[in-house]
Amino acid sequence: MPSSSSGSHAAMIEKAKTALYLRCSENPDHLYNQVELSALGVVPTKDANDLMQCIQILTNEGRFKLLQTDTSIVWKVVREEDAAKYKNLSADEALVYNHIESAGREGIWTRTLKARTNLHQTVQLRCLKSLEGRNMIKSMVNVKYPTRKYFILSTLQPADDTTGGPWFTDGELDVEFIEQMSAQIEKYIFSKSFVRVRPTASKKDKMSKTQAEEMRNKDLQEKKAPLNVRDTLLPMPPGHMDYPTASEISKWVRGSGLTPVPLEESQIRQLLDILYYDGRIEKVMGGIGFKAVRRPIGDDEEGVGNGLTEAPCGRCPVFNLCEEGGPVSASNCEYFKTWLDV
Amino acid sequence: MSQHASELCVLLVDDIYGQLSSRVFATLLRYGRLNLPTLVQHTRLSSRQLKHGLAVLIQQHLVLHYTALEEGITYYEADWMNAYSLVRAGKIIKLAEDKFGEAAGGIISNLLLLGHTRVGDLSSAYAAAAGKAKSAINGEVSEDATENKANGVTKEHDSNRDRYPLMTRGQLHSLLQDLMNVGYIEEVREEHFRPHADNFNEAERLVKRTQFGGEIRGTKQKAEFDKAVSKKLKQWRDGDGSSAPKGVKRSLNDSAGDGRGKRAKLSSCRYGFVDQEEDEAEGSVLLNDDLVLRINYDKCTVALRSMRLVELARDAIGETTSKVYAELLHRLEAKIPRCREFLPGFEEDSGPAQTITTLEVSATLDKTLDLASAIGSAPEGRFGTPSGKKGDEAAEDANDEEGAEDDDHWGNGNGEDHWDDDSGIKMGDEDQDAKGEDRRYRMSEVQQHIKLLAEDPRKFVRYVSNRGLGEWAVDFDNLAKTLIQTELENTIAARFGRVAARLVRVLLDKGKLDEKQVAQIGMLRQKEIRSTLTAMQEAGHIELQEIPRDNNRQPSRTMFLWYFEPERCRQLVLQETYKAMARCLQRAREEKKEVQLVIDKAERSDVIGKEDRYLMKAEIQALQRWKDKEEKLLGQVGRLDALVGVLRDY
Repeated sequence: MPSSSSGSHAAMIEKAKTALYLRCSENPDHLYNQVELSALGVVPTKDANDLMQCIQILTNEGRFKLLQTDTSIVWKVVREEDAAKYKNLSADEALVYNHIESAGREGIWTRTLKARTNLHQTVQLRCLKSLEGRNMIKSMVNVKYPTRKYFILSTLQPADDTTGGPWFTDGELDVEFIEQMSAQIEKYIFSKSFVRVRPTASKKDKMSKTQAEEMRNKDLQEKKAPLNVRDTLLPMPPGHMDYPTASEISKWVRGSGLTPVPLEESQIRQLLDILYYDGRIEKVMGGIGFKAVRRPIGDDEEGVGNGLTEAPCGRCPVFNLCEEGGPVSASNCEYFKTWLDV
Repeated sequence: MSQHASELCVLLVDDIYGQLSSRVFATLLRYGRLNLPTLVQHTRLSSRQLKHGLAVLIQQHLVLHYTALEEGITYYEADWMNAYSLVRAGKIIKLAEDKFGEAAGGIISNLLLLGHTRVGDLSSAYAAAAGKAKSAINGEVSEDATENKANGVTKEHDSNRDRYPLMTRGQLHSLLQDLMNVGYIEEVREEHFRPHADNFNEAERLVKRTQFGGEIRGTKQKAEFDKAVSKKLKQWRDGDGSSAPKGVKRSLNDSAGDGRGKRAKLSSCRYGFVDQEEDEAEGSVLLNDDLVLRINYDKCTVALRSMRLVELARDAIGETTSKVYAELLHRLEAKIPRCREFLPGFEEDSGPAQTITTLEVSATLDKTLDLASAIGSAPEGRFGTPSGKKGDEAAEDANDEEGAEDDDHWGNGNGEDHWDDDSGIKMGDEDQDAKGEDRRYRMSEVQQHIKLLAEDPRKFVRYVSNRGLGEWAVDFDNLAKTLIQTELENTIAARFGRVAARLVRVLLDKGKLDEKQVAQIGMLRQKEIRSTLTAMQEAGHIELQEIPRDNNRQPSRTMFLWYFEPERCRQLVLQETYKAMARCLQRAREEKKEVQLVIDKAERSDVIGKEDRYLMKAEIQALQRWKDKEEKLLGQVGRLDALVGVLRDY
């Protein structure tokens, strides 16, 4: 090739390259193979070598991405602004960035990154540092592996399964939120589990004399000692099939505006499970419906406990040592003393 | 039998029957089965003293004895279950009082004090009290028993006047019969005095000789033999087959014949009821004077269990429903001799569970109980039909089927009647029909309540068939498990917080779990539950299983799985409860020792009744303080006993 034409050739390549990029950008999601690229006809010489040169330059600039399918090599267009990021990066940094980018919302563990890039530890660390410094990537916490260091593009939000879903805030379980939500759900189930009747308002018409008397006595008693709210609750009739199910409850939660966080039914189920384990709701209708427990353990004045734990012995830290004639015994017991003096 | 249980039993015996008895009892508990010479050696008592002590203990059924035929040596053995039951005395008296009035409670408390007694002695004691004779109870009760009692239990009723209130012979006997019919008291048989193992051997020997010709061959015959032995044992313990007397009054003409003859006959005829019309105006049936009675703790426990279950139902469903349940359980009690078989050699009753029908329950249910207003009506049912109505219809269907055969005045014009009822018009002359209608309505209401019980997740009752507007059974085993689990969770929650109870339930539900899984399911932070889990493990409530992933068993290559074993936890809490009871009693004794001088003074015969004059202000205060303390401690023992009931007996 004559040397005089080399300058014009280079210009031609430059022009063809820009044209090629523009043409391909029209359809950014398409993967182009060599045949398709040459079919675009942007290289006037129609020379495969020239086309090759254009593609090479574009790839080096980070505007084309080389991908491999089973049978052939294809190229994908990279958007201008994305490509710009690569511009200022060193080769190593670009490599690291590339891998982090490809991990998407899942993020990538530094170990995996090392294995993929094959870079030395210190080199990789330097790259990550500089990328982080330029605010291109950020570290994240994966709740599945809280000790591992993960990186993700700074523009992306970590995926739900890595953050642990709505129950996690900054990688920590949000116990407060869980408690609030389950309390609300319990309230809802409670409202659906019983019939609340004012003792006097019920059954005005048919009432025998004895019933009336009973009712009056009851009222009198009530004035003396106000009944526990839960005592005035009447059970639903047998065969009642209107206890809320998990899907109804989650529908209610979604409609209630209690939380901006969208909660799936499976997540509501988790809450229902812990309410069940706390003994505050029980399963009815063959396990699909939920019903509030009328008097959950420890909800009334007495609090939790039984005969054993009320006695000082049930809570005694040295109960195992306690023996007549031993260092601790019933006769010299301090706990008994305070307990009896109350 | 554990260390703490034996400690507790000795304390109880000591409190009630004094030092001599408790010393013998403790020795027998510690060494097991002993004969008299060894007992003398271990107790370091004179043989005379020892015999006194044993007499009391045997009278109270705290010591069992057996004389082998060939050797002729008598062996003694402590019966700790009966000793434990002493703590339940108050509850049993209350039980009888609630059911049959104060006088019945008095009888029970007398029987508790006397261990066992002849009907004749009991009635003469009451008669003597009525005749204002001071010296009352002496029949075959040994002196020691009465003396020792006096310083223990009987603070509240010092005088014979209180203990034996005025009662005619007929009243006494009919009360005794009532108590026998519900099974709170039972006839004493010879076998009640023998240790179970001896009864078992005896039964085996007897059955082998009489039914199998002295030899047993093959597995089939062996099985038959076991069955026969078990039957024999049951017969000895509970009387002739039917464990619950139905109150059939049979007459026994044994006016002739001496006491021994009567005793022998007693075991063949259930309760020697004697007709003595000339004695009573109403001609009521009297009990044979030679009948010997004692408290049947097993049966009383059944009643206590029912009470506990009713409480559970009240908390779970509501007051009224629990009353229906109480009636149902009460009716069932008659068919249940005991909560569970503790002794080996008895076959488990694998027969069908005892059932009861809605009809039976509503027949005896308190008529004034307002059933209808105790069930809410759903605003709108899912299937369009208000459930209350559905139930009514079902009930009516059942009635229609039965009507013809069951009750004549129901079946007639059933349809019309139904219409009348709907329009609210009632003809005056259809009184009978109206009554039937009321009854029917009432029964459908009862049925509604029982259905509620059946639908509860705790499964208070189980549906069996449609007979009698619904036939129901109660799965006591499962209910007992629920009760036990609740108590264990209560204990754990009180000790380690609510979170711990949640973790335990997760573990119970899911089995063995890794710490991470526990945290995930319980929706708790792993770091936070770690300390709770470890604390519970230290206390022995939950366990940790290690599974090494390779042969080196390095901790880093090992999985640690948490799990909860209800049975082990139950045992642990039970033992702790025994221990706590023992400590409470010991403390009570200690508190008493501190004010002993004042108590002695207050109990002086010249001071009693004139406390204000002779006691100083400080002394009165000290007495009051001590009384408060003792009440609190003994009350706590009662609460602990309720826990033992749940964990062990129900």
